[in-house]
Amino acid sequence: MLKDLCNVFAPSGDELEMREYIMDSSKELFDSIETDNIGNLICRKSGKESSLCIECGLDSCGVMVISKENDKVFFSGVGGVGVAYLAGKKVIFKNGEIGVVRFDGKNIDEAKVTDLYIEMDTKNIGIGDFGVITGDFFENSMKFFANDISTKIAIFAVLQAVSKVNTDRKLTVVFSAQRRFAVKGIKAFFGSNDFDKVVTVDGVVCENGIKADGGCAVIAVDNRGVSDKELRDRVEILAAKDEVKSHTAVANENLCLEAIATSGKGTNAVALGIPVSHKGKPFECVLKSDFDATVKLLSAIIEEI
Amino acid sequence: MLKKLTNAFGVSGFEGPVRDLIISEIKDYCTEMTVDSMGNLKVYKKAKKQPAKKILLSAHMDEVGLIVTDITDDGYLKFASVGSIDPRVLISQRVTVNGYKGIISLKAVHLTDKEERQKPLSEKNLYIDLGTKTRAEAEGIALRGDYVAFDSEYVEFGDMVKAKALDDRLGCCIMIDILKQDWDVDLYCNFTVQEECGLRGAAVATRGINPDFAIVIEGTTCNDMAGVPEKLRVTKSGAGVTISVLDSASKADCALVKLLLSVAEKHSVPHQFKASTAGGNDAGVICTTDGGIKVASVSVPCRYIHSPVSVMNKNDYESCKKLIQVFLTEAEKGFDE
Repeated sequence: MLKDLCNVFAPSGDELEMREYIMDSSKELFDSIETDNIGNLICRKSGKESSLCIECGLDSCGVMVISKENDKVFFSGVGGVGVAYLAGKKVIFKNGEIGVVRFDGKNIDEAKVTDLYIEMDTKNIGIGDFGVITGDFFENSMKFFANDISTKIAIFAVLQAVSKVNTDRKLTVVFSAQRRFAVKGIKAFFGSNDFDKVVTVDGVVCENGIKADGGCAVIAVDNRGVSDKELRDRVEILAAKDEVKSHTAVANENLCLEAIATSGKGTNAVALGIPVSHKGKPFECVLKSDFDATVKLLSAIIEEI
Repeated sequence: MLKKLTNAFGVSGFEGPVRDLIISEIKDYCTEMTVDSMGNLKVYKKAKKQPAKKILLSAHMDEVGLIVTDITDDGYLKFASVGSIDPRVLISQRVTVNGYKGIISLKAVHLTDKEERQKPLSEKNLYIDLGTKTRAEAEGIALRGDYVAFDSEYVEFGDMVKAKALDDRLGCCIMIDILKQDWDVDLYCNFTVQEECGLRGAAVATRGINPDFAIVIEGTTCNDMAGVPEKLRVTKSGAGVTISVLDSASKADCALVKLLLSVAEKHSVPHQFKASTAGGNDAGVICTTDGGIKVASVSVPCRYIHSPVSVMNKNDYESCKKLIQVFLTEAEKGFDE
């Protein structure tokens, strides 16, 4: 499934293919699945009273075409992609056309996005078209490798966790749209849906105390908000009780804690991070043991919190 | 009407004169009209027959401008910008405050040295000269917290129009014309406030409407000038109404963009895409309201936007209006569902 997920085309704002893939591959896990106006995929399991919501994103960072000239396509980044991240990568568009991001200058550290271009056959590409970095997934006995793996590994973890639980408790899982682009889907969904507890899941860069081979990262603070302390304490106690490898850490990236906490009436949230090594470089990787720990912890949270 | 609207005073937070003008134009053409606590003008026009699609159109009444922050002992006004203004466009501009004219002053070039001329400019170095000589005299005209607008008359030249506040009085003007027609859709027209200082009015005005679709009508950037490489031209004046796909505040709903494109093509409306992701508008807050709304932006390219001398092509304005009209016509038919 992870290999398939890495090949699904889902730039911010055009997540249709990812929604369809999730619906097709997991409809037996949920009692109802619907899409709201902004593109969030909302999956519900009915059951005994529980006000828990699991959230992760649908979309990937990408590029939008702003002009073209002969065999060069010029673009804007979508979802906070950096220049160094893009240079040398393969980009695929919705119609299957593929190109390579080039930089002809000397110093990539001083380059702007407008200094880059995609070298490709431009006749079937138009202004406003979106592209994403190709996934190029592979794995060995210990690790998963792919470009831009963060969103895909989180979706995989959530679906695996839900498939493993054995509970009659009510559950809502929202795969949010435009998460990489100003967390629009989260603001729309939590602005009009109330939950007591939200667990948000994402791939997180290994830095600042987030360790590969440390199991699941329970995030205390991200760069915009904080995990609810009481909820985080319960997650950490649960991890210890069930002997799930985990570590508490501070994230330097936006894991949507602020957006969830301040939308609507305000919601208690905790972020779980799957450590991603070499994030932003070709072939990011995730230890299978860290992935398994996250799935185990998430399953325990669904059953017990 | 566009001349009256652009000449009217309506800096973000003080949109009353523009609102009054709009109300006087549309009061006989709507089912219901309210002004909320922020000053948004919310207009509803019921469809001639039901069931009907529910469409929200949105344009903001406010313009970028200035606010008085201090008055000097020798009668000059110090100010800060309201909304995003490049300080370089302020030099030697005419302004109005409380009905009085003034200019934004800078030393004559003869009196400056090379070093002074090469320093980056900041609005902190600028003053408004009302012709007053003392603090007391200036305070007879303006106080701290008073708003200041550009003083720039509407002028037509060939196919072009020069005016202040084309962004977004052109959107308001288009909505006025739309309201004067009858439609078989439930039409909501929000004339919003404080867009230029943070998309504030729309966040409140949009709640509770739950439209099938929302379209924001705007002025957008246009840099098709000499010296700008083709690949960096965001829009082209004269190439038609601009449809945005993505900007810094919102991603247009894919299905709605496809509808707009197909409608434009079916009715031969000249159109172009915005070739940039810079800038943002009320769609940025509309899209997340009430659980999410399908929204897109259509715009008229405006050169020198956020300056006293913004310039648009009248044909682009007409294309924008026509796109909205044919969109509503197709909505009446249910988009051939």
